[in-house]
Amino acid sequence: MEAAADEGDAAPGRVIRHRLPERLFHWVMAASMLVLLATGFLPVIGIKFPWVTIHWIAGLVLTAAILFHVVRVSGWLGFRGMSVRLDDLRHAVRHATGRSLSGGHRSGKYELAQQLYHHTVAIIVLAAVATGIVMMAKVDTPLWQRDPYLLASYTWGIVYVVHGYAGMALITLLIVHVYFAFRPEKLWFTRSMIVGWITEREFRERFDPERWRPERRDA
Amino acid sequence: MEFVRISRNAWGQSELLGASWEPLWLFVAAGLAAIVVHALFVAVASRRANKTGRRDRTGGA
Repeated sequence: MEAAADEGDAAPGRVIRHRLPERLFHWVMAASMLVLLATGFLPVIGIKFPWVTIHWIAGLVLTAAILFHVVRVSGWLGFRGMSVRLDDLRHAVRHATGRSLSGGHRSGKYELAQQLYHHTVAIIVLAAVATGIVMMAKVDTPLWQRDPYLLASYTWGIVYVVHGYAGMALITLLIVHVYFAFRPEKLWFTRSMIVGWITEREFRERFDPERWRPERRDA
Repeated sequence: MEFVRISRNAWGQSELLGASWEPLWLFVAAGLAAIVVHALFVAVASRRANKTGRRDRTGGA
């Protein structure tokens, strides 16, 4: 069924990098994250509006997207592409210290920087989501009445501190992510997150075919 | 700079309210600093690569 749905994903000579479910996850996460950051921080900098309902609904959308992603990774994609390898770390150190001029080293599906970024975001988003879910106890929704006494006062304080700092850290990570998405030499990564594919040439130049064996459509 | 918000409750006890928003600009600045550092690194690395390439083409030294 998925193969049929992805028929139009890759023209001949194109390598499939992100299937439709992964692209949808990425953009749903991006949209919900932007809404969460806007509703969370615009009131802090003085732009007041009724933000709470929009915030928790966007939080639920983000939570659902993450659950979907966890199921996709566990059942279909696997963890290999995101596993940090020692030789990638060694190469990164050599490159950063000027002992290697980038070329030569080929990565698996994700480069080391992408893996580290993913893991950092995962930890911080999970902290924000976990505390956000607990904070839902303080919000009246159509499904339940608020219960501000669910936790002791000090524990609530801790929950709010973690949620606040996770939100602020996500601003940093968002700035960095958008910067790299628009860097000229990284635009093809961004394109692949929109259309799903990279070219055969991009694949050969950057990736180790032993470590990433993608599906492709040959002529 | 305060890192957490604390208030006093009706009994005069201090109460942890949540994160202080004072460090917010620090997180924005950290993102911008990362951009500057990376852009500088790329500029230096490409200059070094160009120099090495020129040297290789002219046969060293």
